[in-house]
Amino acid sequence: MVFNESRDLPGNAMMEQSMRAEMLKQSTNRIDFFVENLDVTRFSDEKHAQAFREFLRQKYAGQNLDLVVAFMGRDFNLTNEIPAVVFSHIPVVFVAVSELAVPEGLRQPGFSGIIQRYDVAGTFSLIFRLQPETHRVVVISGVSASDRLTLDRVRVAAQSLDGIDCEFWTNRPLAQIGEGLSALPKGTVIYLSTIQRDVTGQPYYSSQLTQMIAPAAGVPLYGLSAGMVGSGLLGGSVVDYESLGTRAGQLAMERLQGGTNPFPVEVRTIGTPMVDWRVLRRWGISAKRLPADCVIRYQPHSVWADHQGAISAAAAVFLAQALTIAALLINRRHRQQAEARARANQEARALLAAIVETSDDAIIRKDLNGRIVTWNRGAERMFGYSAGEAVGQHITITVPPSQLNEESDNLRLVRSGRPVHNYDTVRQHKDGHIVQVSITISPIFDESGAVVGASKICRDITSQKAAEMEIRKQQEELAHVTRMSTLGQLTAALTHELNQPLGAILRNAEAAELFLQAGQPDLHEVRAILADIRKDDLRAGQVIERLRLLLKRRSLVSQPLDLREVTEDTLALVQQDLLARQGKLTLDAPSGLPLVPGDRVHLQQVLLNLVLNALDAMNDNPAGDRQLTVRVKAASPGWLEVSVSDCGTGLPPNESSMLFEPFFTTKSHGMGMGLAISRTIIEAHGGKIHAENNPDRGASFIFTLPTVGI
Amino acid sequence: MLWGLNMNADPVKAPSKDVVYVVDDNASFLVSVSRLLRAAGYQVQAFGSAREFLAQLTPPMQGCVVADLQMPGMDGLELQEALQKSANPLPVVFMSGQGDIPSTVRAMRRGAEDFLTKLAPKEDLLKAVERALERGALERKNRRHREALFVRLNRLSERELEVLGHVVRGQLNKQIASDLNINERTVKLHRTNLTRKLEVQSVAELTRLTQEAGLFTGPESTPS
Repeated sequence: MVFNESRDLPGNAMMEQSMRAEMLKQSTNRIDFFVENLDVTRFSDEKHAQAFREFLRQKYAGQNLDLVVAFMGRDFNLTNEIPAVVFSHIPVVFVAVSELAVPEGLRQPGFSGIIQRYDVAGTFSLIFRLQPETHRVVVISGVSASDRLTLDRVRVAAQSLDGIDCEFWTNRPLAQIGEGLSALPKGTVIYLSTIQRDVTGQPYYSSQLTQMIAPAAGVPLYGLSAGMVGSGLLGGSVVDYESLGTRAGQLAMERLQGGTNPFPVEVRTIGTPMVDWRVLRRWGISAKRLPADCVIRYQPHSVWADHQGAISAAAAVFLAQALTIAALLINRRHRQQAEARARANQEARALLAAIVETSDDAIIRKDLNGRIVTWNRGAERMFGYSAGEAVGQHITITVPPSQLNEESDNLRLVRSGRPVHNYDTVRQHKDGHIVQVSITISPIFDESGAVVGASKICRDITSQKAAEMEIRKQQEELAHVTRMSTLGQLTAALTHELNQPLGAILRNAEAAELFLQAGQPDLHEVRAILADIRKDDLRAGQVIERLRLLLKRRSLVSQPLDLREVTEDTLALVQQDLLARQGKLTLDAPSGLPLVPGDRVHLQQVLLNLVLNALDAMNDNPAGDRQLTVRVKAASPGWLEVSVSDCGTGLPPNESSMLFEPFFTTKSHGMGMGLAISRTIIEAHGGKIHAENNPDRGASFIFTLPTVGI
Repeated sequence: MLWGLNMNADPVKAPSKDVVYVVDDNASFLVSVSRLLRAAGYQVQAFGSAREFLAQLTPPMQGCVVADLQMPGMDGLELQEALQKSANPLPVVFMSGQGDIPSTVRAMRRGAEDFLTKLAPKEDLLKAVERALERGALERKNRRHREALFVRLNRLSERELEVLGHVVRGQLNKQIASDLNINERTVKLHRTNLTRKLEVQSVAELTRLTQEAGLFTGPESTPS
């Protein structure tokens, strides 16, 4: 293995390790590895390269090498020496993370390799996914020839970003860059392109550089290489050295086993989304925003954090149980005094046994090691094992492999005398199918108060879960349909919004044709026209994208929302309707309101519905008298209140209780679902909605939502 | 038409004093329409709102207005009303991003002759502007003509004006004399004086002049 760069660089270390692992996994023979590195960043002159070549030739002259694996770095510096000078006639597998084309020297029979390109665009998309509020990107890049190649690709990707201000800091000495970075305002992120050398000629390793500038930076850093994750980088769609190493190991094995690769050079352009969990936390970015395939590094695991709720609930149950036990003990002493104690006790036991046997729930007793002691009929039905088969076995026969940790946690709790109350999980039937269950585990104490085992009650909630899913699906379906019909009412606004940019594009194109017909066309003007056409085209695209998001069939996504912002966004949608219907709108919403956890699209749908209803209610008012007021305010601590008030005819006196029922409508064109869906949505958010007539005239629809806990 | 500006819409026009005033709150549409009209050879001035435009309205202006129907604040129709009341009743071509029926009907009812959607082809827009300019030129010519008539009519004394009223209703001198309670010779004298002052030769000319000036258009007036 020959490394062009230092072998100690995190990326190289990862590649080496995973390549060795892959080769050892596949190979049945012993493999001897020899490792050399040139460290070309720090020893960049030809003299060193020559000495290195000479050294390699002498050192390995007597060795019977089967394969050379060359880690080329970014500039293919080792290219010429490998095949011709040092290791002639030995097959080569090479790995390069580079923007360059594969040089001729490597296109030889018996050579194969992988080239990984930096995922420049993928990192941009990760930025906007994690921090959608970003409006400015500061790109830092080195100035070496290959730095410039990467930078060119970053520039191209940046050009397609609309409304994002991209700055390129390439001509500042990196040693002094910290000051500028610390002053960057919110909404900015730093994009580290590749940096081999800065403008002063000082060489850098990317991980070292990240470590240097991350503490000073006032905003998050993103980058292109996995080697930087861990030294302060938030993340990026990075070069995943481990998977590169693994693939190199596979190629190496193919080579050693005499196989030929039909594609001597594999080019990879996609990176692996990766983040540093600690940095994510530091910037307060929700892990919910991470893409599903994102690799999360440095995430600590904490049972207490994960189960805090369940544990405190369990403590409450424990207290209740302790009281019950106390009561039982007193009861028992009374019975000891009675002569019929033994008989009564026996009857009670028999009754208990009968109840246990006929219960639909699985009731199992286990000892402190998890061995099954009793197994009722419910358990036989639920898990498929007969009592004879199950008793004496370990309780893990009912636990699918994925939940094994959970069972040992449970045993630990039981041993310490704590119960586990009503938690939902999955267990496994003898035939392998998964059963959804709700489990309660109570410790069993002997007379001295020592824990001797546990009783466990499992309730099968598979059908209950399925029903919940079904209801949820139907609600989403219905919400989708109503959203479509609500949007149907907005056609005026939407045609207007689309016709503006489309009209401007048409006019501009016609103007350009006329300009070009002139004897000496004004190319400056034509260029300005083309730029405007592009801008308007993007605008039209954004209108369509907004629509698409609203119309998309989707499930509830909860995130902290600024209700004022959500309201403003919604009102922007009805602006044209308002103009056309000559309504006047007042929005009364202070800034700095507490956030509300919720689904933006669904809450927008409720607001849209209420506002359109209010406009409808004022249809018979004279044109100058259509005042609509939307208020957002903190109601009581922990609650926000939103009201939509009109000055129309008000609510009919006897029907206000019917308003939120499905299919109730007073409109000739209404479906009667708008308010019913609104209520479903508000209640799903933990809030309430009601309607009332205003003291003077018209009606108000008011809903409340709980705010995020502090 | 008699006052024909060039109807065979040549893309590049001869210089004229006509200015097309474009009013639209949507900046990118405003720029694009202005550009197109300039490319088609018109002098163009662009305004982001009706009020801004009215504030710059300094008579005498010559040309026409191309305005968005829906604008926040003063909309296109209100702008048209304000223009009609002003000393410069420029003709208006309306554009709408909407093209829905109610607003079209309202616009038509209030006298918008040309109404285009924002996606109408260039030819329609240029024709509409051309028609509006013609209309403006015609109105301007009529206005000038009327003003000239009023200059002449202002030369008449009150009595001569009275006599003129009777003459154009086709009354004979004798009837006029008895109606006004003066003698017939005095009526003749007034008639001679007013024909001289109004620079006309015949009763027929006199009648046309008063009609064009919009005088004596009561039910008794004589059709020509």
